[in-house]
Amino acid sequence: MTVQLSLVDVTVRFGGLTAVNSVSLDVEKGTIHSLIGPNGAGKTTVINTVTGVYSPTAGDVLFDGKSIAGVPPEKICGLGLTRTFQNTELFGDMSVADNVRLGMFRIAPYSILAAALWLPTALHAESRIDERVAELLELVGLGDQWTTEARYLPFAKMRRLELARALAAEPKMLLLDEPAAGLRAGEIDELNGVLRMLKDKLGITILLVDHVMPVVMGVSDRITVVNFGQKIAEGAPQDIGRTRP
Amino acid sequence: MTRIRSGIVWAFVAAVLLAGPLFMPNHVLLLVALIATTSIITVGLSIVTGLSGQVSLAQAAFCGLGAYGATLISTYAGLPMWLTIPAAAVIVAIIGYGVGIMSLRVEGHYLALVTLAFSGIVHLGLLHLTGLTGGAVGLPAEQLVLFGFTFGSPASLYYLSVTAAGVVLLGVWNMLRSRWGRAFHGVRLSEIACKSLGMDVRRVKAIAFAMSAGLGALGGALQSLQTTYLDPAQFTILGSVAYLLVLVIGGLRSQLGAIIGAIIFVMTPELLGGFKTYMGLVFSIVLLAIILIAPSGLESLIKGARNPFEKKAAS
Repeated sequence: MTVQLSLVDVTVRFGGLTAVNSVSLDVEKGTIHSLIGPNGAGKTTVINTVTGVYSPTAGDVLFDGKSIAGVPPEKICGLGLTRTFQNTELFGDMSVADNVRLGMFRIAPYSILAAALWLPTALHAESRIDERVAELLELVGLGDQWTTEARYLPFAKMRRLELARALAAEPKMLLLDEPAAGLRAGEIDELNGVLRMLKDKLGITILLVDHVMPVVMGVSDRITVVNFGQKIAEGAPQDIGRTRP
Repeated sequence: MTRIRSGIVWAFVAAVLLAGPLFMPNHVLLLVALIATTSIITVGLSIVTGLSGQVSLAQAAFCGLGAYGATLISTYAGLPMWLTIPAAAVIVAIIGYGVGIMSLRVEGHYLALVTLAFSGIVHLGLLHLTGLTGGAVGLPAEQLVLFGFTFGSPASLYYLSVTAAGVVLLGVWNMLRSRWGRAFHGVRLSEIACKSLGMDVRRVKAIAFAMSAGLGALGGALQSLQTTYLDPAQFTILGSVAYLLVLVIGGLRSQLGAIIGAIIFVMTPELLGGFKTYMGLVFSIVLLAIILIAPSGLESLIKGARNPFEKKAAS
């Protein structure tokens, strides 16, 4: 197996506070890797460091074997890495479809002049975008809500829309920040189904940050446990499930 | 149903505008022409301020650069106005991009102040570069001559302005429904999400600035054909503030709002007549009333009135 994402002794400090302390972790290609731990353990900081919101104070982050430490967030997506957000960051005033269309901003480009004059390049790109939007909305179960404004969606659907938008950027790897927070039991089963399908059918590597155990235990190939910014355990779900500190 | 109805409305508006010179007196023709060119300016502003959420208080400066630019290039390079007006618009768009890239290091109030300063600098430049701009006295604008035809009569200026506004509004309409419209919208709603999707947020904002500057310059240059005289007093900081004000009154985020804003911009001094001195007061009172009654502008009232039976979306 090859390693998709690798953290090498990553330390992140904010002033005197050490949020992440010398954490190393390898995510293998085509697997779902979970990062769990209590609130304040540094899970979101890990995601923000990988996606370039923060630079590591020490250590390195490798994606496809190349260092991405300190690469700004807007460049990270182009490398094949997209994320979702803990409290969702949808474009609330925009329609469901437009949210996903905007996910393709980078991969379906055409100039602003082509847009204003409605040139064939723009029309062609737009029809390609809409085909993809249809696929993705169907995939996450929002196929009948193209024109709904995103802010009117129930929370569980907002999360799925954010997932569709992240997928629209055609990533090799997804970073999901607490995708199950606030979901009901039935919704969690659906989420598990979607995540497994992304892995099995599309071959997308997933780093999942959560502490909702039914999701973590249900889909993970490997689990890393952090607490107070330090890695305290790593292993397959059944091993982690047995370990009681 | 609504599509058919709005089609009929647009066809009617187009027919009235086309037949304008048959029944409108010259005075009215020139007012409509002025509204048309002003709406090019306000629509430009609505892209950067309404859609992208970047407060710009430099629109009058971009108009001034466009108006003076077109005439000066024409005078000194000996080029005809039909060439120098678009050229000035493109050059000012590039200047707008530069201003955008530099000033977008700061956000919110600070950005507004930087654009305000830019507006002030341009006005002072027009006032004090006496050798080039004629200073406070100003200079006559060049006339537009196309295939030997001079656009001087009210009817010709009317057709020119209305056509130009129509083309611009259509282009912006298309742009709004493209990846660029979505991107401008997106940077206002969530920058972090845009970045995570691989968008260079600062570049997108600067492109919005460039669009707004280019359209401001185009509108300003076309207006100079109507006023026939370039006077730095047309392009002051207060002018920039007034454009923003009428856009807020009309509706920040829509083309209809920009058109309503342009109508207010042109008609208020017209209707006030001898009381023009109080224009600032009138604008302020109207603005306060709008903020209380219809915070998203007059355009929202029209939209609401258009179909009273349509159910409001549950919030």
